This record gives sequence, C-alpha cells and structure tokens, in this order.
Amino acid sequence: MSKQAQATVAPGTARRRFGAIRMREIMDAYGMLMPTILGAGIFFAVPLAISFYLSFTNARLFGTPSFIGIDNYLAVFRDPVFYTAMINTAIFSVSALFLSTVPALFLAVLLNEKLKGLAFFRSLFFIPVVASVVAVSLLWRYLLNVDFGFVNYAFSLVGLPRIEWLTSPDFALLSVILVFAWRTVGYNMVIFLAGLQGIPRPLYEASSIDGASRWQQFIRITVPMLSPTTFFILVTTLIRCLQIFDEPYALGFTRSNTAGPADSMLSVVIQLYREAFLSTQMGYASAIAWVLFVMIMVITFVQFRMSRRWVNYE
Amino acid sequence: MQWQQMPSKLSLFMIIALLIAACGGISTAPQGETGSTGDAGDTAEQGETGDSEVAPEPSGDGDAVTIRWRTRPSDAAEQAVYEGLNEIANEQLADQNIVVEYDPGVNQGYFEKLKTELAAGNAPDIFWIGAAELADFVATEQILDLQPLADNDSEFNLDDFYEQPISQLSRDGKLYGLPRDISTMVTYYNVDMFEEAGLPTPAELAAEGNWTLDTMLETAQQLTDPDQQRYGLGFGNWWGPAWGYFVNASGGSIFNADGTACALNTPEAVAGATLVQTLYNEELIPVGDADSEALFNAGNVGMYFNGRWFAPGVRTNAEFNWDVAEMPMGEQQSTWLFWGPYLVNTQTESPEAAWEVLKILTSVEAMSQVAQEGTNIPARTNQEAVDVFLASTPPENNQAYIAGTEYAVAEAPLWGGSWADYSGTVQSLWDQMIAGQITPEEFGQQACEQTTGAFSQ
Repeated sequence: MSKQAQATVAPGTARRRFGAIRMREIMDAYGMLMPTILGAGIFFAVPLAISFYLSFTNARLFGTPSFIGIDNYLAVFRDPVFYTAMINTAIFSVSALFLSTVPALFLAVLLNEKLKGLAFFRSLFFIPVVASVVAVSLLWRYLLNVDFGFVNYAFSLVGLPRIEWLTSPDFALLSVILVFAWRTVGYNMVIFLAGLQGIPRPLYEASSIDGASRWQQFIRITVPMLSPTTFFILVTTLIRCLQIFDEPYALGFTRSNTAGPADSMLSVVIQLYREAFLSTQMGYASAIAWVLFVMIMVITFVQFRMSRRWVNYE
Repeated sequence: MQWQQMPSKLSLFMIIALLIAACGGISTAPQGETGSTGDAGDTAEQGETGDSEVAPEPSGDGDAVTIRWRTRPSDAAEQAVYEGLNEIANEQLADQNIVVEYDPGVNQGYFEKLKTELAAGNAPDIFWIGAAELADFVATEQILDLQPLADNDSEFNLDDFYEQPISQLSRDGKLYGLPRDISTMVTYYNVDMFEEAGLPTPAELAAEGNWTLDTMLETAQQLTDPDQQRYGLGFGNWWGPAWGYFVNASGGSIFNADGTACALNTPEAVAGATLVQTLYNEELIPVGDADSEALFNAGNVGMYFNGRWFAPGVRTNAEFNWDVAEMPMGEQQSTWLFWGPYLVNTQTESPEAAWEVLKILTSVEAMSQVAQEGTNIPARTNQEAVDVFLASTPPENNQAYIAGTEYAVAEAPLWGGSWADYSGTVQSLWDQMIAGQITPEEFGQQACEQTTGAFSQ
C-alpha cells in the first residue's frame, strides 16, 4: 500500500478495521477454548454443583429431593462408620505414602546409574502402573490366599507362620497397603527419575573433587535438589491415598456389602459408594464427598505451607 | 481467507459433538431405547454386531417391540442356558412382533449398576434380583405391578409356583414379579472322606433321625486334621449359611416376627452364634478362608453348606464321590429357601410384550432347562419340572433339596428397612466375633443396637 493510499484512510476507519480484526481473533480464541470450557462445565462443574446442592437435601437415587439444611453434615460427624472409615483411611494413607515413595526414590537412584539392562528394569517396575487395577487385585487375591496363595507358601519355606492376609481384620488393611504400594512405586519412580536427570552433573563432580562420599552426595545434593519432585509426589500420592477405592473394592468387597472382614478395608470413598449406590442415600453420600474434599484441601494447604521450609526451587 | 475460518468451524463442530455426547442416552439395545419400537429388520441386523443374542426377524407386520432382559448367571454354562432360552423366546414370539434380547449382568456390582440404570432410565425391561433386595427395588417405584396382566391372562396360574415366593411378591394387592427359580441349602459331603474315616454320612445319620447340630459337631471334630489341612466343615461367610442358618436352626430368627427389628440378641440367636464361634475356635472349619468352596472341591473339607448353585462346580471339579443331605436339625429343622424374581421395569414401553416374555422365562420349559443344567430348582411345583430336576445328577440325593422346601425359611425382603444396611452392619460384627474380638453376646447386643437406623428408612 502506498503512502498516499495510507494517508487517505481516515483514523476512525482504521480503528474500526482494527477492532473488527481484534473481535474476530477473540471469537476464534473463545471458539477454540469452548470445547474445553463446555467439557469441563458439563462433565465437571455442573456435577460438582449438583453434588453440593444434593448434600443439603434428603435425595435418594429416586424421587424428588427436599432441602434439609446441614442435617447430612451433622449426620456424617455423628456416624460411627464414618469414623471407622476415617481411621482406616488415615492408617492407610500414612503407611501407603511411605511405602510408595521411599522405595520409589531408592529404585530411581539405582536406575539412574549407567547399568546394563536399565531400560528393562525401568519397564519392569512400571508394568504394575499400566496394568488394570481389577486384574492386579484378582492376581493378588490368589497370591494372598491363605491356603493356596504363593505368599504363604513362600513364608512356609522359611518357617514363617501362615497369615490370613485377606480374611483377618488384623491383616486385611495391610494387604491393601501392600498392593497399593506395589502398584504406585513404579509411577513415583519414573517421576523421581525425571527429577534426578535434571540435577546438574557438575554438582556431583565438584563434590567428588572435594572428597564427598556417595552417601553424602545423596543427602547433601540429591535430596535437596529433588525436593520439588518429592513435594509433587507427596502431594499427589497423598491425595490418591485419601481417595482410595479401587484396591479395597476389588480385594475385599463382599456379598454382604462389607469392605473386607469386619469392614477393616473400609475407606471414606468406599463408604461414600456404599451410601450412594447400595443404600441409595445420594444426599448423605454427597455430604461425605464434600467433607472428604475439604479434608483433602486442608491437608494439601498444610503441605504447601510446610513446603516453604524444605522445598528448594533454586 | 477460507482457512482463517477453519478454527471457528472446527470448534463449532466439536461443541455440537460434545453436546450430543453429553445429552445422548446410553443404550445397549440395538434399537436404542428400552422397549422401543422400530424396524424389525434393522433390529436383527444390528443385534448380530452386538454382544447380545441374535434375534430372528419377526414375521408380523408393523414395528417390532424389543424387550431386553437381564439375569446374573453363575458361570458360562448357565449363561449358555439363558442364551438358549432367549432363542426359544424369540422363536415363540416372532409372530407377535416381539424381539427378545438377553443382557447378561455383571457379577460384581450387579445391584448397584441396576439401580443406577433404573434412575437413569436405561435399565432392561425385565431383570432378575435376589429376593432380599426386593423391598429396596419396590421402594424405587420403578417396578411394574403385574397383577392386572396376570388377571387378564386366562392361561396363567400363580398356584403353579411355590407359595413362599409368591406370597413375598404379592403385597397390597399388587404382584411385583415372578420367581426365576428357587434353591434350598443342603449339606454337601465328601463320601470318600467319610468312608476313609469310618463315619456314618450325614444322609445315613438323617435316615436314623440322628442328623443334628450335635452330631454335625462331633462328625466335624472327627474329620478334622489340621496337619493334613483337612477340615470337617465349611461354609461361605455370608448371611445365608453363616449367621442366617445357625441362628434359625438354634431356634432364633434374624428379624422379629414382622421384620421391623433385629432379633439377633435373643438367647436362641446367641446360642447359634456361640456354636459357630466354637467351630472357629476349634478350627473345625478353614478359619482363614472366607469361602471354602475351593477347599471342598479339592477334597480338603468333609461337609459343606451351600445352595443348589454349588452343584455344577462340584460336578466339574471334584475328583471324589460326593452327595448331599438335608441340613442338620437344631432346636428346629431349618434351611433357607433362596429365590429371586424377575421384575418388570415401569418404564418399559410395552408391558404386554414384557409380560409375554416373562411368561416364557418362567415357564416349565425354561425352568426345566435351568434345572437340567443343575444350577437351581424350578420355582414351579409342576411334577414335570420337578422330575427334570431330580434326574439332574450327581448328586444322587436330589430329594434333599426338595424336602427342604417343606420347612425352609424363605429369603425375605426387608419391607420395614434397608437390607443392604442391615446385612452389612451385622456381617461386620459377625466378622469381629469369629475373629475373637467380641463375644457372641456382644455380637447380638451390638447388632441390634447398631441396626436400628436400618429399620427407620
């Protein structure tokens, strides 16, 4: 376009043209964002809002719900079964968190070395992560069978007693912890590996020159430099632990609707499921869901606040 | 330029697709809707590509009605029987333009899935449930009253069925379903193990009039050898053979007379629980096995309490001689009459077509086929059906199942409360008792204290 032609375009016309282009860009941007906005709205925000509303009603799976205020929330805190579920979930979470992070860190450090068959071992430890939880749980039901299971057979070879892994209230939750940890270690290991590979090699080289041992390198370099990764793993794994459902359901849900012997595998989400789909108390189940949500939020908030003291982002 | 508009058009397309996906219903029926009408030719064609049974093309004029039905088979052999029944139903109803489609249910989570489908409006037209679940399903107000259809059908006679299930299904002048089949609980026993031990079998003791809870305990003690991993007795740790049977046989009951409260704290119920605790304490049963079916089939358990559905598995797996006897006599002769009805969904578009299908599914011929396979006992008292059942051997003593129908306590819906809540709470306490964490008295007391909420729903 020549200078003469540019000069003939009035400033107002240029602004309008610019405005039209800008508007079309905005429309295009929103058009492209809309599938995600609608998807999140229809499949996430709307059900969330409905669940929040239902928690203040006496909704069953059928019929019209009536507003009952905070009665469901009061009932949750008066329900002894909820406290059983809470205690089980707490024991599970603490134990499973430890057993699925500490071994994962050591495995990751091991597999970060230049060893033969590294890719094979990395894949091997990751297989439980991609395996179906139901298939894995069925497999473990056989392995942990008190009479025919391989675990008890192995115990008997070394003189250890027979353990009622899935049928004793004393051991059932331990079985769930072990199966969860076995499934989760591989995933956490891969995340740790990614973190390890981001640590600059010169740090190790410099410390070697200064005479640091491997253990000192691990404590003084690896652990602090991995702290953002560790923090991520702790937060996400703990949330998964607090929401545990698949493993206790597949390992121990009985035809009498109990989760393991004497409800020893009962988690908060299993109780929620039982109330919603077996007792059809959707309002009450929604209240449990929101109590759990607030608990997870508070715990995660505390984790973030505490992370300032030990997570190093430099 | 044209390409500049592409993102907007693509986004618009995705939004529409998303909305259609979100708002569209889910249906496994070839024609889409439950009980929907449509072109019969299309139905047969689409049915061939699905998992469900292939339906022959109805011969009548006009649109065909599709009736989808569901029952939970115990195993592949039983599923094959139901698939065969589906073919028969399609052949018999082709001239009425009714297409019948069998939809085998999932094993775990069967009732949860069904309730959710009912709430979502895409449950099958006809579905089977366990009798104990009946009250929960009727409470959903999604169950069709079949009484008007039965009244208008001159060929249909309710008197052909066993009385207990029909009396449970008839309430307030309504008929909520028809029983698929029944099963009584009996004592399966390993004949070879008894011969080896030189002990009289339960059937022999029963013939002498000496098959009691006491002789059962003595026999179990004599058969048990923990070093050999051999146990005298076994039963599944669920309400039927566990707290249900032992409480009833000891003269108690799991509910009060009108089913409005727990009755597990009576001296009789506590006596039943105490006997079971003895069995566990003395390790006369496989303590660590919640369901010793596999151990019985492997020849490690002498006697095993279960329903008729257990028989096909024993036929397949047991490498020893076995037979059955009635349940041991306690303070009263007792066993359970397990049963489950087919119910019709109120949302079916053609109750008449559903009724025609239901009649075929509960016919003498249908029940005979299931009985022949060995899984259950016909719910009809017709001699023809009973004869087919008696001829389905082993076990030789099929009469033990039939004899039990005379005195059995029928599995009953908990009209005055929630069975899911009641059974779950009681089972949890029962597990604590057999683990030695609480006494039988505490079990009874706590069961009745903790289940009051189950009766107020």
